[in-house]
Amino acid sequence: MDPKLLRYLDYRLITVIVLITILSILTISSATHATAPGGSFHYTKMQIIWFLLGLVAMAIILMIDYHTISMLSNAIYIVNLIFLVIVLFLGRTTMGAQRWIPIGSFGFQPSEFSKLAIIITLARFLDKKKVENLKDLIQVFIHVGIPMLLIMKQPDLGTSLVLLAIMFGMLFVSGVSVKLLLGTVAAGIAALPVFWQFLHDYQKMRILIFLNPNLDPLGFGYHVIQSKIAIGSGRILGKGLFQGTQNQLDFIPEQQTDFIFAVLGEELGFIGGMLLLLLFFILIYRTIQIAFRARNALGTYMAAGVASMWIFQVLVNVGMTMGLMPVTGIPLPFMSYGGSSFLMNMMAVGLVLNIGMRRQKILF
Amino acid sequence: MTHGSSTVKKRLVFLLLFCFVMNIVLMGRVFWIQFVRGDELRQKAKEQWTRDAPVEPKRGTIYDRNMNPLAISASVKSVMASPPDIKDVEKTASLLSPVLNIDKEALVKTLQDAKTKKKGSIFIKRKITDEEAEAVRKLNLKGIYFTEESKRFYPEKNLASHVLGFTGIDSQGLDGVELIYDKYLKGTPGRIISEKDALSRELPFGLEKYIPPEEGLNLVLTIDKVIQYIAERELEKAIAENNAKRGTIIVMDPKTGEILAMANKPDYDPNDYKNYPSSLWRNSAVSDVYEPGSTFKIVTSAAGLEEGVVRPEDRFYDPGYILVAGVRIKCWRAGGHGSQTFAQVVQNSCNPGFVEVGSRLGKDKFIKYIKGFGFGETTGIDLPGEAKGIFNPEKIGPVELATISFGQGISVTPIQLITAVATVANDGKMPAPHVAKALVDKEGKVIYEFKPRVVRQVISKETAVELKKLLESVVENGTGGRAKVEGYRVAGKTGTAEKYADGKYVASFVGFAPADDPQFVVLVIIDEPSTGIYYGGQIAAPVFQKVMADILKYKGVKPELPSEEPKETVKVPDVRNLYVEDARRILVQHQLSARVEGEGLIVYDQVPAPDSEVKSGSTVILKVSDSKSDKNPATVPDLTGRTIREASEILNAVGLKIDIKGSGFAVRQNPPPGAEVEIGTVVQVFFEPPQTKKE
Repeated sequence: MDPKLLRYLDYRLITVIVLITILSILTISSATHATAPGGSFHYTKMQIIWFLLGLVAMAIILMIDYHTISMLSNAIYIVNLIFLVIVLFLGRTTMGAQRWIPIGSFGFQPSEFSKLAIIITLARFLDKKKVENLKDLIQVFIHVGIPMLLIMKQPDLGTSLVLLAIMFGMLFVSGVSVKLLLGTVAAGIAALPVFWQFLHDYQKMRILIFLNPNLDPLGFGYHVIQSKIAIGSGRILGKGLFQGTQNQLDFIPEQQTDFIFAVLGEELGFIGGMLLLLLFFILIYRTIQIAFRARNALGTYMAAGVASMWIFQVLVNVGMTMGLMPVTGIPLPFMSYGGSSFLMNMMAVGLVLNIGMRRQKILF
Repeated sequence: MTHGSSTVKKRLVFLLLFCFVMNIVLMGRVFWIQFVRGDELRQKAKEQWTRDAPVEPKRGTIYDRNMNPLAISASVKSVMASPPDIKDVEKTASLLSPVLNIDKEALVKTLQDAKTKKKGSIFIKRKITDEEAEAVRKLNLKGIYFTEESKRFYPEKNLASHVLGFTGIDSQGLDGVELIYDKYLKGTPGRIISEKDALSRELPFGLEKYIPPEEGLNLVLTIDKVIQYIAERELEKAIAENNAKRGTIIVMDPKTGEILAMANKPDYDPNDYKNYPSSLWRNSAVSDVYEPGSTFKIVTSAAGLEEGVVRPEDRFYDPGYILVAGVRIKCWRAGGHGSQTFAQVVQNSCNPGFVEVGSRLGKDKFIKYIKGFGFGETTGIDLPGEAKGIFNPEKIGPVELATISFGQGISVTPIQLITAVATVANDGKMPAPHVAKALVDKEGKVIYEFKPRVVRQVISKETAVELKKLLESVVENGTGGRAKVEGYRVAGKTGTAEKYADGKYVASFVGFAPADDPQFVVLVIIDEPSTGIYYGGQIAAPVFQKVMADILKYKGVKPELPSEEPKETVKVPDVRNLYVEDARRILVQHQLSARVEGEGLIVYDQVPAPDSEVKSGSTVILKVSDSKSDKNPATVPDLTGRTIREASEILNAVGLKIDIKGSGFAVRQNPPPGAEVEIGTVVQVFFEPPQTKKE
């Protein structure tokens, strides 16, 4: 790699990532009662390790020209499918879903990496072939649909929805006729009753609860109500780090992963919530800017895919903690505790920086 | 280049716009939840806190100054129910109600209510006995379980009950030091937070958390269990002997203000306080006021000596009364004490002498010292319900000034009076009275020490030393003779106050020992003795003597004086036909003590008979009666110096009739004293007004 390229590295984007990660580490410490008597810094330490490993992964992705990565597209796609199949057979079951392949004492979550795999492979697909009609579109659906169905089988509705969001985002940016897209969306909605039959009971329940959380305030609605109570009781400055009663007393469900925003909202209040949302906006803004300035369509599509993924995850996760979205188990990028998610996101950052750095034709 | 197409760029801008709008929506939602719905959600958060089950902390132990426990908490069982687990409410209630002795219908209702409200757990009956617990355990009912709570036990029962107070069902302090130091004794409650409890159903992610309670601190009192016991024992005896309504004894260390004992009788058992009338919970020693009578003369003397308006050797003349602003104020002794020094005025507790001192001081200076000794204000002792006493400087005219000089017309609390006397004993430095010595944790480490505090210097050390000598002479040579503890130098003052109700008195004695280096101040108050004897010197002084003697022995204070020589014999004087108090006074002057038999004012007979030889210190039994004596013939008593009323009472008592001649005081009589006459004989008594009308 030409060292001169580093001149074009987007350091502001890296700064934003570091800031979000700092917020993440503080919030996770609090959520896992690291400072409470008898508490342990296990999760805090692990998140720091994931961040450091993530930086390495980012640097590796950064060094390999994204064109080269793109050429490995077929291999990436197939390896991804293999892992998704393995997880169905060998996966560790946690909370009713098989999402992890155990590696030592850790769990490797292939579905997280599927997101990045789809971004890379779909960008190459769209770069090669302009989608102009339904037949082309169906080809895209099949490309994304296979891993998506495997993920749904785990079952992991959230991640499969992220794949869907990535796909629509990239199709939209690639210039596919809006009519065609809306048509398929309409067809999809028409097919919902059929799709509904395939949902698990708990998934159906979650969607119904989203429509009316008071349907079952003590059961599944509990998550959203507790999360809202926590955020709502934070007010302007919050109760202070490690001081949130709802968090410390474990009233917030899954507080270091899916509902981490509720911990942040309770303990750092309105100010903390605004700061994090602003950082996410800057992150996505810089990513879209890189897509805009990319040297070619391949780069644009890849960056747009990453942006779509982050927009969707932030919207759904934060929205979910405040009762705007159904509870779907989608982690908040860089914030939620989890190695696979964190590594994947750092690799995505690497990919975006890669594209941004190589936007200029290098003059020899 | 395809990517350069305007469509792609437009769509990227659109994607950014979408992201922007979504971000605004999320921020708006955060704002909505945190500000618009903030109060409501904050309230909900709080409700979740209160939904958890509290765990009662162990209440701190109360010890006496030698670490003997006076109040301890032991764990007892309470029966609880988990309503969702109870299938058959009727059956459960019908099995439980006889065992726990509670109304079945009420129990059914409670359980049904709790079930519909989805309550996680409720109390069925708290702090049950071991037998009840065993019976409930045998029933083995589903959804019924026990929880440990603490119950207060007072191992010494009634001992120091008014100082200790008691606690309620939630172990909250309700009276005494249990109330005053409640915040230290009670500790911090812990809690069990469990979703099942809070929401009455299992959730996908069962959460349970136990926050242990923090034990309360232990309280060490200044009370000495042994001294408290001595005080209570003697007080109980004195009340029984004198058939008194009630009484109070306080023992204080004058150097520190530490209360070593504080007893009121009758009292109550704090283990079972509910079964005593609430009037008995009252700590008279700090909450009730009384007229101090002659004990207040200590304050008058202190003020007079400090201001230099009187010296111990100043001469006074007491004709038996004194006129103040046209009002005649009598001395307690009919006929008065005649010519005497101020020291003798104090020894004799002569009212006119103190009226004279009060008038020499004048209103303003006297008030300054009364306030200086703390009267009219609470002492600030660490016990609840302290009274201020009744002393209103604005309402003091010459007559009030005169009566206050000898302790009438002012009301004080026992704790105020003993603190004032402790001030004299402590060389004029007023100690702050207190019952708490220290707060210690469960390892015995002292967390806080209540240090002795001097409130102010009220009189100079020189005045205090002089006054101590005078008070010592009261016990050596004066009205306080019966307070004498052999081998020790004791100082003190008697007090007898007449209540506004007829014929009711408060007898008291306050004193300290050893007189030159006082270590203990003891106040004894006997309220409304009803055997006919009511003088402080007769009733309260002997109680003081026993209490002080036992304390000195218990604390190992070495006697300073050689024991007295073998007692000599004395001749028993004739005290027949005298008022009981006069007879008693005469016997005391002859180094004899008296015991009264019967009820009435006048002695009609005595054992041993007059002129017998007995050992000094022996007891003479005085027979008194209200009813006419049937002794025939009757001996004509000596009526010289009596008022008309007194003379007729005395004659009536021995069965003779009176023929009144003139007015004033008796000067002559016919038949003469000592003559033996038939019952019913008329005695002519000649009265004349006093001849010297001084002032």
